[in-house]
Amino acid sequence: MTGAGTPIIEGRGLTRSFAMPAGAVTALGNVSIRVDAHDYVAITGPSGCGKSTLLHILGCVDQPSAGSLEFEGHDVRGLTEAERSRIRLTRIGFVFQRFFLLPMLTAWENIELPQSEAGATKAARRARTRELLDYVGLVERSDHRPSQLSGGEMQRVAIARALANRPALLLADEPTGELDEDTGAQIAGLFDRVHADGTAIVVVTHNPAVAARAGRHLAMKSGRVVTA
Amino acid sequence: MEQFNQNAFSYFRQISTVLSSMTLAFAFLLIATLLTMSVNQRLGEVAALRALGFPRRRIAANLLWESVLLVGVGGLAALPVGGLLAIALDRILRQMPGVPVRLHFFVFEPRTIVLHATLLSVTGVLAALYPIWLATRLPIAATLRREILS
Repeated sequence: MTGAGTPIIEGRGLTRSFAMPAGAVTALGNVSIRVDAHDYVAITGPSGCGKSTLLHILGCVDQPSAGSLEFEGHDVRGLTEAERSRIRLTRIGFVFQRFFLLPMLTAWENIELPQSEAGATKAARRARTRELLDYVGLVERSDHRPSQLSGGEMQRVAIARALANRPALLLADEPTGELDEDTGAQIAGLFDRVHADGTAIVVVTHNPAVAARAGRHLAMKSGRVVTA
Repeated sequence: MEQFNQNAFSYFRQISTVLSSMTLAFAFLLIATLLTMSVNQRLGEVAALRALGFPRRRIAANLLWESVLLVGVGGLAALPVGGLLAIALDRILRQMPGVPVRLHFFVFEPRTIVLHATLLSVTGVLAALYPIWLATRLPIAATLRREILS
């Protein structure tokens, strides 16, 4: 599971258990993974096998119950919540199945928002937002709100938002899950381009066509990686 | 007029204070309920923003701003409505038998505006506390998972 290059994130023996009334449930059991710069990793497996749990841990939005996790050489478990937030804001991009764009903001404003939070100047934000809208082919839709966009367009805005602060790692959880086959293929094509432009990608998917585009493929079952 | 002031006015002031306190309590409950409902409807968005790296203080500031906006707009709208209501009530009350001709039950005082603004600001901040706690403490991963499944 070791790729060539510099590790962006490396987890060893990652385990995640959840306390339930009937007893602890282990969603992830002793998984080790390393994602290098320029890697493109697809994680597949049946529902409930721990794919999203692994993605959330890699994205520093959840903490493993056991195991170690390093992001660009820093032990994530030793970081404060504010420090993890900063890593997510500046070094990691997230793309969700349901887009989660802010409905009252335009496409432009949704893309500008993370840059604003990261402290980018107005001129820098304007230039980057224009560049990203052009990148995802939505310049003419910049002043449209999410309700005025199609599913594919919303996902493209969400990808642009995820790339806003030039992250080293892009994480996507079922990015084509709400889209038809053709639109899903367009989104997968956009991921190819993002990867070719130098961003490492980890995508959780049920879509074999999306998984086939990745350079590495992890298949999971019952909280464990069964093939890598 | 002096005797009327002492007897009837003290009674009137007490009723007025009780009604004002009840109105303030209702305003508090209304704002707290509206904001809590608003946060509950947007848990996915909040979790996504947190996943994108927006810190807790940003989420809290946004909710506080929403509360201030709600209170501010409501408070501004209440001023002319309250003024008109005071004039109408004053006319009705002055028709009571035995009320001196020059006596007014409602008299505008600038300090009332200051008191109005202060009480509303405090109410707005207090009413936002629970929704802010709810939004900033939500488990990001579990909320995202729940939103996808729902």
